[in-house]
Amino acid sequence: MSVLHDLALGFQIALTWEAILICLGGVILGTFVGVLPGIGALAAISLCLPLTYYMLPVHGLILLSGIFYGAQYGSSTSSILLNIPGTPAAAATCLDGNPMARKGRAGQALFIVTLSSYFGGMVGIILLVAFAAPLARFALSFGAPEYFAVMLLGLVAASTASPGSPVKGLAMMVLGLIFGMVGTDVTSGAYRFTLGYLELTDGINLVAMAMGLFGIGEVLSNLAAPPAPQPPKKSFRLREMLPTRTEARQSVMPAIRGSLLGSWIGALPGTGPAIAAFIAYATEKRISRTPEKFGTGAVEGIAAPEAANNASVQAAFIPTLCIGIPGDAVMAFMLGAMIIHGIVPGPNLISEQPDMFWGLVASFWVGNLILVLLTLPMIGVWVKILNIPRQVLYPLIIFLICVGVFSVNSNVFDVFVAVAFGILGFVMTLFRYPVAPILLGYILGPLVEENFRRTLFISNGDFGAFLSSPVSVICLGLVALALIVPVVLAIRRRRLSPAPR
Amino acid sequence: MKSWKNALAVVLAVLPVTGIAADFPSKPVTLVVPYPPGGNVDTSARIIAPKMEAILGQPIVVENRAGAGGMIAAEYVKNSDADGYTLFMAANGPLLFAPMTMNRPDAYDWKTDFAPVGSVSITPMALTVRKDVGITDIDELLATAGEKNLLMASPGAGTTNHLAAEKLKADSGGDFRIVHYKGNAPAIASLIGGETAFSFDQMSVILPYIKDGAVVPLAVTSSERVPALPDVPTLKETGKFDFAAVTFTGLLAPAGTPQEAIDAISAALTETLNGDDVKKRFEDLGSLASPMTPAEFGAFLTEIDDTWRPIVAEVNANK
Repeated sequence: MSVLHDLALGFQIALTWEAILICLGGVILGTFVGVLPGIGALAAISLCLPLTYYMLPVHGLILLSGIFYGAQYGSSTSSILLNIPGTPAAAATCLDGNPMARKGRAGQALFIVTLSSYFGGMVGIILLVAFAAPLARFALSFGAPEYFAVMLLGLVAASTASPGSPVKGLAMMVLGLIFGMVGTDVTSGAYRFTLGYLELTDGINLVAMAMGLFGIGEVLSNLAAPPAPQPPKKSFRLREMLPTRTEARQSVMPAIRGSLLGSWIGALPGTGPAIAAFIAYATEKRISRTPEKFGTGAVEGIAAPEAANNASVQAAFIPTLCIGIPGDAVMAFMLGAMIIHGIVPGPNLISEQPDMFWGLVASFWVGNLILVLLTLPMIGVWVKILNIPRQVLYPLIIFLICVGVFSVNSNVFDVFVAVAFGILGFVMTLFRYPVAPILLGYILGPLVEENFRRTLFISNGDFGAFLSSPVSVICLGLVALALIVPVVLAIRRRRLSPAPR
Repeated sequence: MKSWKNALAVVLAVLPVTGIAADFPSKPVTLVVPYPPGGNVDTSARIIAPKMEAILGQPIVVENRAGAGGMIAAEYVKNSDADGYTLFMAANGPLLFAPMTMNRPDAYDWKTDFAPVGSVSITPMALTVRKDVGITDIDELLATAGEKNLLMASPGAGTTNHLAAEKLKADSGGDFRIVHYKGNAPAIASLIGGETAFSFDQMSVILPYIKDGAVVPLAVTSSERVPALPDVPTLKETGKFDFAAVTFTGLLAPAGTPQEAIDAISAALTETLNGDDVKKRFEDLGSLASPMTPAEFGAFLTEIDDTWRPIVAEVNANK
């Protein structure tokens, strides 16, 4: 029962008025930077760090983490309403969220993602409370072969995730893999495809690419197309935006699966919420009995990725707080913030600073609850964005994207990259090529390649290393199945009904 | 291209600049960090910023301009107005070696393009082995690493950690293989998780795991022992090696910055670094707050540059 005792200690800290107000401020700010395309949590967190100098360390961390997970809630709003993800992690939510909005069901979509996000966040927190130490050890046991197998499985599973022609989807994924190769090779330090630009030696910036492909591309496509009929203006009362009973039922299992997948991926250092969301989406489409519904506004296609990315941001705290190893850039900054506040992160953080750890974890619960209470009444306000005339809305979006992309590295080069990808995204959409697989190939490709080469380097070229652990055997087995089964089925179908010559 | 700017800077520096001394700083001062938020250099900048702000009476802004091994930030500061309001929060790679490792030898030369203001912190590294490998001294490690296929975890090709390993290899004639990861976090994860067996790591990164008992320290890379690990010998003390490898952070201004501005910042920096609170923060980080005068810092940089340039050149040629 010591967990309950510890949690009680945590809630004593998180339920003081001061902590609640700070948490509220953090999640509101997080929601806003999440909604605004391009401006991500990291920029907001680093801007707010100086504010926390005047707070208790635990309050400071409550504020900064509130911004981080609050941004996940906000980022799906612009995915659904504008087909522009607020952060790259919400790109998967565009695939079915925006079609729902186009059908006039934006309110329902926002309602479902808010509840799925809450559910995912809760699952992540519960795992953090109950299984933090074993999960952290499990994540550490992942070596290069396991990472390779899991990422390859993700790539293969997601290769057909986008709507429309599978061949076009695969082609776009390969394009993403090529973009992922730009930059410095981890193993040798050599440059690949940097075209002489210093700015490309660290690879193409993820935010610039995502905001270009989805954001600027979407704006250009909409400008080129004749104005879509505006959804009928009606009063946006909460009651009218409740999902139907069927929709609610359909989103339960995807939210559960998404949360579990997301927590697991989030606990692995070096992954992140974008990967979690895409893999959850792909999984739903794979196991769905009606995969053709995906891409046209399937509720499963928004519930799963949103549960996954929120679970993943909560689970990302597991390696950071339990073993002192940050999973991504935001977590690395959180570690820095802890040091500035005199808290030394590392494997002994929980035993040395129990009030800090449990106070923070309890605040996650408070923050997620605030986010739901805050977001549901806001849905009506957000949906009104659709009524803004596009000559006002689009310049505003482009402006925000440019500011957001610039804020990542304070570098104008990234803004040009975003514009270039915007044009690419526009052209691709024009010819009905899906853009999401480009992003996916770009994110997963380098992880697959890096871990493939590292495995072989470590094993001295012995391919048997890929089958050295149960996790990699299972994942590679699934990859083989995913590749072979459709071929076998196709051959059998052809034998049964020989094509007329 | 920028020569007119440099010329102008020189002219400005030579001109009597009576006004500047009296009211420097009269607007916010920016510390340009060559890495994204988080990590040793960024955190160091954010530790000193609030205190310097209080002393100088002007806001200190920490600005992250990451990319190209730190070259983007370095070039940005080099091309900024030499008025003391834009400073480079430098570290080994971005300041000294990036032009060489990034194959842009003409981009900048720290000796002519920057004016040292003062060092901020010095972080020694520790050579550690995972506990269950069962090795407790450096001779045993070097003697058996090759045959046992013990791997070293490096946070990236060309990092100080990697260079130290190459130097160790060259000086000892030892034979071991180095696995590169994308940064400190995955490198540590591989070490703790069992994929690799040993590593050179910044004290800031590895100290918690030493205290935890997950890894065994064999040596520290500073020229003197580290207070946190009084029983661990330095590389020099082990008798076989005659080099020290530390990561520094420090402030530099664009060349041609008026001496008055440099002196004002240097004084504020020294006072900041001598504060108990700041000292404690750097200690938590596994570093040492290390105030130096501009001249001392310049000499310190020259020494590091001379020691490591040949090794960097060799590693670079082999990539």
